[in-house]
Amino acid sequence: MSVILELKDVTKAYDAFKVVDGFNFKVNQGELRCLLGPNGAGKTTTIDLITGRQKSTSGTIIFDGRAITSLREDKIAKRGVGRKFQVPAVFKELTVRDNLRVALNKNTDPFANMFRFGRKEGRERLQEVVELAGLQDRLDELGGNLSHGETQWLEIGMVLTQDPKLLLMDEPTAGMTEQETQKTSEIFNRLKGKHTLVVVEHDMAFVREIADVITLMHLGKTLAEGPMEEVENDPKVKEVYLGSEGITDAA
Amino acid sequence: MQRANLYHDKRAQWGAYLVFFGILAVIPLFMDDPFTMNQYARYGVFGILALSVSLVWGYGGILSLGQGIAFGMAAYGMGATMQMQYQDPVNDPIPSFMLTNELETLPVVWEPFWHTHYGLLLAIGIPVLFFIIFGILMFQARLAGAFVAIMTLAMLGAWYSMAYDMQPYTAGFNGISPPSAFVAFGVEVDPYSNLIYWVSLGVLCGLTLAIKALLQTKFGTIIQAIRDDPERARFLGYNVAYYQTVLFALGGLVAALAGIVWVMISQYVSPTELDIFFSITIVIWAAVGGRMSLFGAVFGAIFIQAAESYVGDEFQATWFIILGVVFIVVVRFLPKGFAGLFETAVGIIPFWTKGSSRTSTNAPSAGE
Repeated sequence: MSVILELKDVTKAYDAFKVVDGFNFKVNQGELRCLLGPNGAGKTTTIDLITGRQKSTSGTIIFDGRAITSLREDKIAKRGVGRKFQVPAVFKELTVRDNLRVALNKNTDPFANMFRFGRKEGRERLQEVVELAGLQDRLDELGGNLSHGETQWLEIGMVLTQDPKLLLMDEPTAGMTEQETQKTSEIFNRLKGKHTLVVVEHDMAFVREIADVITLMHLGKTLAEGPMEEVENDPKVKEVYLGSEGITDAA
Repeated sequence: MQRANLYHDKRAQWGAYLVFFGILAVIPLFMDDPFTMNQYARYGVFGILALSVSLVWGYGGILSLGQGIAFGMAAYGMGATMQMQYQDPVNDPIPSFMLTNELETLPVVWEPFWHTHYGLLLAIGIPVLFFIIFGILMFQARLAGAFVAIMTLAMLGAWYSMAYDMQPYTAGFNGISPPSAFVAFGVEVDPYSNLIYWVSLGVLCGLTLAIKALLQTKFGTIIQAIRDDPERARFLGYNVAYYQTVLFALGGLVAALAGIVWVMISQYVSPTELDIFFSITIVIWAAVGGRMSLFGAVFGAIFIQAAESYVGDEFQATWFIILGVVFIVVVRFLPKGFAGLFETAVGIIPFWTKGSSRTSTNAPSAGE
């Protein structure tokens, strides 16, 4: 299996405090990786560094064979990195359909898009995503009128519409009810294999449901990496979570 | 079949535009009063300015208080063009205000205005170019909201002072009053005629339809997406600063065209066109009429200005208090302006569309 994403000694420091500290991280093509860790471990910062929202202090980020370390957000996105935010971000004043159409980003030039009405563009792809996200009945609804769970699915749908090589999902089940979480894990299991995913998550039941390999971060570094059972029984992990009942309570 | 609001139906919208502009177009046939036509032509220009704010702010989320910059620049360009149409290269090569300001030769910047086509090109091109550069400066730095408002306002103030201070070139406070009407292709556009009204209405109508069409394109959807959440758009692969700069320059283009028509109507240009209060008024028109509706913005401009000329005379300075109260009430209770009220009212009319949303993803959307 080929490596699609690699972080080499990546550090992000605010003055003396290193949020991400010489972090090394590799994700293979088609893998679903979960990134876990207590609050402040540097998970979201890592996602920010990969997607260009923040610039790393040192280190290299290689995506699909090329360094993307100092690129602007939209250029990284164009290379094929999709991102779902921790606080779901959709276009509130646009309909669900338009949200998805904007996510269809084959051509991002403003002048070319002035002559594109996009009625037929990517219709099958939208159809597919809409079914996967279960938003068939909500296409004409404004993004701002969706329920919390639907908003999360719409954003996941938008990231999928982008058709990225790598999907970064920051807490996709945050604030979801049990049924909603269940539905989300079904979506993720269908994505596995076809797409490469990195999922930051607190919900351990959800992680158990979807993860092949998990990476546990602590103080900006990898504490443990491997299948769930292995990480759970790692003495280092037990030490970090001393006093609690293991990583199950990490949330 | 599915219950829907007629307000959102594309065919109904285009139909409403046709009826609206159709009625406006035949007004001169029943009025035949040159002074009224001149007055109505001015409303057309206010409508165009409101359009520019609706496009840039309502759809693009860029609160520009500096639309007057493009309006004023173009107005000066047009004033210079009309002035030079009057001057004679041999007997009378220098405008009289320059002579009184002790200029002995025509300044180089005025030379191109001997030619009407160059003059018009500069009157439109310079403001657009300025908006591109100014836009790049602001949007590359990711300025938004109040910061854009302050920057544009400060820039407008700077241009006002320049126009005021560079007396030998701009005639300063007195302004330029070209002695003759604008002549295009041998036709004199008399500012007191039915023709001036149709020119103004024609530009307003053309721009409204062009912007309406632009909003139906993918570009139109993307600028609205950027308005809602620039960060999200960025992570979908869009160069947000690029889009905002293009949109800002388009808004400048629309305001510049308004400036051109304005000087044809008024035969006069002065720093008043660059006045800060005037540019803020443009934003108020759009807000009151409904910034997220082209129709609403145009209506707001005409409504407020007509009220000012017919009611304002009676109240004099109190008029600004009335305007302020209207603005506050609308912003507080009608965030979408009069257009929002209209949307609700039209929603009461029974109207059904084919319930196709379940299966098809190609139905029209976005826009107003």
